[in-house]
Amino acid sequence: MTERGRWARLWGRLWGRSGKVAPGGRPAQGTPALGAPPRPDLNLLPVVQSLRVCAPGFALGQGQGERRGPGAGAGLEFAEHRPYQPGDDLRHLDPHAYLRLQQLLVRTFHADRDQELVIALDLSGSMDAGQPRKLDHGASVALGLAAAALNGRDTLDLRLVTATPTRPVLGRDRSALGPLVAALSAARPGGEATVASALAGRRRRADRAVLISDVLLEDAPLLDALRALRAAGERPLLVHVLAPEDLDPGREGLLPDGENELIDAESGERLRAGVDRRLREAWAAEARAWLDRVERSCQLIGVQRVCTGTRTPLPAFFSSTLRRAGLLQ
Amino acid sequence: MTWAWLSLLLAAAPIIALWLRSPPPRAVRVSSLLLARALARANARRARPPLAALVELALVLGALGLCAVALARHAGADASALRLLRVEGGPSSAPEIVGDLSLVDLQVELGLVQRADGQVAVEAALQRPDELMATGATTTASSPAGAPPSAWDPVQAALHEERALAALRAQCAAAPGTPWAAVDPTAAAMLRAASCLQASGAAPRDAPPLRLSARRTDALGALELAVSGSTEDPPTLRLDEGPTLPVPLSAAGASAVGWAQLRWDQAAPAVIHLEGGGSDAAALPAPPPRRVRVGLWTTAPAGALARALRAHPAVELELLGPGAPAPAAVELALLAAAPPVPLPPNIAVIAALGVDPAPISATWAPMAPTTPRVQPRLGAPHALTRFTTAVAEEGALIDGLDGGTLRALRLPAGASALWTGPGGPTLGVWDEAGQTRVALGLDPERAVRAGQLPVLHLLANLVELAGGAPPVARLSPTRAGWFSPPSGGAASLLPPSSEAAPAPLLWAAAAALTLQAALRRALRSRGRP
Repeated sequence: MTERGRWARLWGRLWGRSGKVAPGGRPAQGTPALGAPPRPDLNLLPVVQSLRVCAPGFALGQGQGERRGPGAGAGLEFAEHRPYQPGDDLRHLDPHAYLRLQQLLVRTFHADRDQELVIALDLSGSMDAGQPRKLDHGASVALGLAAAALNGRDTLDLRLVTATPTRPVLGRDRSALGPLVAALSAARPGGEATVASALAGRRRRADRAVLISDVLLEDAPLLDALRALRAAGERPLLVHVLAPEDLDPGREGLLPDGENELIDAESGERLRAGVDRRLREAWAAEARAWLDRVERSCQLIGVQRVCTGTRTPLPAFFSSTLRRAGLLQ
Repeated sequence: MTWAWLSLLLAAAPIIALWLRSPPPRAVRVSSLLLARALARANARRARPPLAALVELALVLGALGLCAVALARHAGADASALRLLRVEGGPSSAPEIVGDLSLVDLQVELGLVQRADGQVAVEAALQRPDELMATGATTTASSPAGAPPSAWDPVQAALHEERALAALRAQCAAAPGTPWAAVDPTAAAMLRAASCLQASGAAPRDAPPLRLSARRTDALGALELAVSGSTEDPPTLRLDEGPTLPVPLSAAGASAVGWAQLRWDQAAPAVIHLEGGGSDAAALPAPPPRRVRVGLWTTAPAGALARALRAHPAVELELLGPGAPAPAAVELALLAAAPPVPLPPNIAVIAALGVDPAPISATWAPMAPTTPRVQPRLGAPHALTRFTTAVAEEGALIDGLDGGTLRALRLPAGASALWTGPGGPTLGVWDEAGQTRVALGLDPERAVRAGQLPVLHLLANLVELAGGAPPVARLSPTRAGWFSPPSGGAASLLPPSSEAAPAPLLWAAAAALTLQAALRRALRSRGRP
């Protein structure tokens, strides 16, 4: 240890100044360091193996799939008969109908299309907080949804909402899970990010859009992005990741009594606050009001919203909450 | 000065420690400040109690103001340990002494040594406080009641000159006829207390049938004596074991008054006793009450020399920088720095104190300077050396000045060498161009700071010499009103109580800052974000 470091440690011991930033409460065993890449729960994959992503209405994918697409197509399911028109494929003429009705009728089939699921995972600095981290919880949700989509041979488009643009993860089968986990492991959370920029550059609209975030962003850009998804008919679903520390910091031991300097995980902004019981109660009341505001905004836009806490068991969330929300089946 | 700074440090140390020890804010990383900002806005909308902020601000400003006032007022004040002593079992007019504990030998000499003839020398000295200052180091005396040394018990102690003077002021107001004495190593306390002592000592508590009053009419030994009371025979005055002098009465009977005038060698103890018809005694009054305008050319306006002169009751001091022109009305020019060029001719006395005496026609002797731990030989008796002989007989005249040097002078023709050191004259006086010029080969700044009595009396004698001590008009003796304490009492001669000691101000400042810190801590605990 250098001389300077020794003096700094002695000074900190004398005056109780450690010089480190408390990450919010007492760190649990095995908690990743701040700024570490998300660590999705891979044990979730067997749980979601039997689940599929469902989307009301026709599938809008371009490729051949197992979902009914709009209009007739080259599917396997019979749709109807229609009179033969020149240019129709002769292989679709129904000989049985000609023998019985003496009319040239052509059999038509439903189009089998795949459906596309776009997942936007918020990797902003605010997600890099909580015990356990909201980032790990959100990444696990994203991994489970991606696995469900790939199980149904749907097209997956995973977008990471980060401060620096990243390449989306695309896939149509379970072989894409490997690159997906690798992409998550390589991501670096932090900074301020916008959902709109992350979702930009897509060539067509998806069947479902899922936004996984703690919504601790500025209201206007987030609502604009959700409104755009809703207008595009992508039936957005907001998975609201909540940490108990955000809602009731006093109960979680995040804010002890006395003078505290609160540091914004995203912007690094600092705010000094004298904390006592009344402040913690006011914080909890403000958190409840904030949740109500988010819920009202989603209802106003027409966005479906489901909440999940970082300590909520993910199997139950997938098998119960998301199925009730109509996203999985 | 030292005590003032120590008080400031003692007052400031706990405050600084409290501020440093206040726990630093704990840094907590939160997901977002959206909620905290909303809370802060909500709290900001609520009317923050302005009273708390104003009180906090007022406490801080008040504390700073108190510190500034204390430091500005007492930046140059000397502190000393003073103690008020009282004789147990003595008569009602037993003297009380304000003394310095550091001068234990002096107190022993004053109160505990029995003299052979039984004369209460302490009482005699107390009646001449200026003499006491001069002879205190060598006076052998007994307490008035013959009390043993253990009988001198401290009744009030003070750590600062101002507190001791406040105690003296209260005692003077309560018993204006009680003789007093004050001995203190700091010149300011000595000179201030002397003015009070002389005024209070002239009015005995128990008035005898014949009352004697005395006043000095000039600085060269002229005395004016008055007797009043009830007597038929002319009383006789005895001048301190010396010759007797009959006082003719202008009127006899119940309202007898008499008046006499004589000249007395003031280098010897002079206590005037009234014999026949009464046993009153009188002390010589204070130096001439006329204020002498003194110009001090110095580079240390807050030094010990300037403070001592400022404390002298008969000095109207004007501080001047080196080479500054002399004001027109200055009567005594004390040159402790470069003098004005040319020397103004209308100044009665010019004294070069420890600086090059060339401007007043004297030069340094070529001999190297010596330390002042020497015994200069005394020259002819002179008004400037009054009260210094007794001290000189006991030991070194100037002793123990840190870093001080004694230099010899080469005086002009006709000059009188009053003090002579190993290398030649070190104090000389002569008349030139209608002025009395004095040269001292010693830095008086260090001497006054160290409480060297000869130098203090040299300064007082210079003031008196410059004042001229002109003969006053003959007074008609009356039964009351002679040399009695002034209308405001002897206490009025002491400095006003507005010159409070710095310690209370500093402690008040410390209390204000502590309250402010406590208030701040309380506001923090209330959770204002």
